[in-house]
Amino acid sequence: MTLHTERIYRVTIKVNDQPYEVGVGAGETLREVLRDRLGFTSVKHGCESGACGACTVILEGRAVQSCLLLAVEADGKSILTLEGLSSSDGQLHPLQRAFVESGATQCGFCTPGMIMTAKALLDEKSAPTTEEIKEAMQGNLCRCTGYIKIIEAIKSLASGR
Amino acid sequence: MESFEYNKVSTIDEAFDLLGKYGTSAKLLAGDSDLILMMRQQAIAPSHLIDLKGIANLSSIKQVGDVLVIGTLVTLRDIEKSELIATKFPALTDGVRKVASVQLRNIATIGGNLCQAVKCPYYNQSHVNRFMKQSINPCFRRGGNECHVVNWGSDANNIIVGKSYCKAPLASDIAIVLAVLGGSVEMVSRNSSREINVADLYKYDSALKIKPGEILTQIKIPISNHVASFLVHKPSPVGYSSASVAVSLSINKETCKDIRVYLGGVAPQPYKAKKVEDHIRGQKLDEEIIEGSAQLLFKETRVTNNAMMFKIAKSRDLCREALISAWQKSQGGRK
Repeated sequence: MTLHTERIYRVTIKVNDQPYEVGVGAGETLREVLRDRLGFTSVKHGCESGACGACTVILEGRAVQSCLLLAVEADGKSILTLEGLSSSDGQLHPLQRAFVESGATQCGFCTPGMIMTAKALLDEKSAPTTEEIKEAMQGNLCRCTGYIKIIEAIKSLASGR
Repeated sequence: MESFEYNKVSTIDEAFDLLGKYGTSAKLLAGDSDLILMMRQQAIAPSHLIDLKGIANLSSIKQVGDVLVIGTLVTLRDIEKSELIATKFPALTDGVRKVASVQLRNIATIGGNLCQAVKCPYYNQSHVNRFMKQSINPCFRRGGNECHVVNWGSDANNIIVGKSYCKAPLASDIAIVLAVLGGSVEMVSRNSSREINVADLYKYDSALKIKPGEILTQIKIPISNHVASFLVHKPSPVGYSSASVAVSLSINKETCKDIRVYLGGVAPQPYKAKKVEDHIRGQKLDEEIIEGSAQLLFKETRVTNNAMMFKIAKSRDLCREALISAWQKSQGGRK
């Protein structure tokens, strides 16, 4: 019997401004490391094929689907997850508050991904139009209900800025 | 995912070294989105990945003389946001914006898009691949000698005499746009480099014409006064397209001097609509001639699979709309 030995890569990543050093296998995705190893449970295990957007995180200022990236590739990069949005005293981020106030969430599974994608959009463009919001949110699926409330939530923030 | 070894390189020479060392068991990694999915769905199992993202000079968009040079590692999002491309080649911006979602475009690269594998449920589009491997015969892509999608009519004979091959259409829509813009790619190996037009980049079975040890390093598009437009039909907003058309027109005093029409999603290579081009070239454009040319599309094609009939209707619709849109753009540009 041969033992299955896989090479371990030392990876240093910065998640929500906290540095972490983890040993990962080559085949481990960023989603697996963030959620299963480091405990950032806002990074959801969804379709695992880049279609649903539930695993969206912001990597170096860009919204990416963490299920499609290898963890070794994120070495030395900084990542923002939903946990890093709210302030340390428990204050919600304006986007989170907008989602709550607009009732833009039902079961909540897609919400972290939605908020991260919306944040990347608003960081890039402070007042996007409805069409731009729709185009940016195309990669996030919600299976509970429609997208009207979600678009309204983002829109309320876009005009309020 | 089978276990593999990950190698990050920072120069192209290192990549050649590793390619020479590992040969076909190594795969080049540019943008993740296609390769990682293929590996997860057990379509391929490379023993080594060579990550090109550390190579610095392959991720820039620049104009050299009257040629636009795009590095292979430029992400689709960067192309979408590039002012230079938006002014010189708005059709390319349109095409890129139609690829998947923003999150995916943030990681997917143009080189990877051109090199992506065909999409087929019997090859790489199914989560049950692991079990499918055990229960059905391997298809052409998996090294077997049958196709589970196209296996009737004259193809049944071809399978028996060994003349059949994978019929999956080309997956890349960007290739259609680049073909119409007259783009070419540079394939570099350790000692030589060659240029291939994107229109000739794919073989009869939509495999890339790339030799072992070669790396696609840049995409070159000649800047011309052609007016191009690109249209695509997608069953779902972020899914893969089922048909696409790119048109480029050069108009001189209302007559069409030159025209290029390429279709995607219907053939293993960018499909050149020669009949449409011949019908329009040298003519004065109007609604009638455009309608007539769209009807010429696939006139002699015999469709064996009725489920694919919609592609003909859709391609004709898209072709008509793309021609009208390019024509209107050329009129607007002159005023």
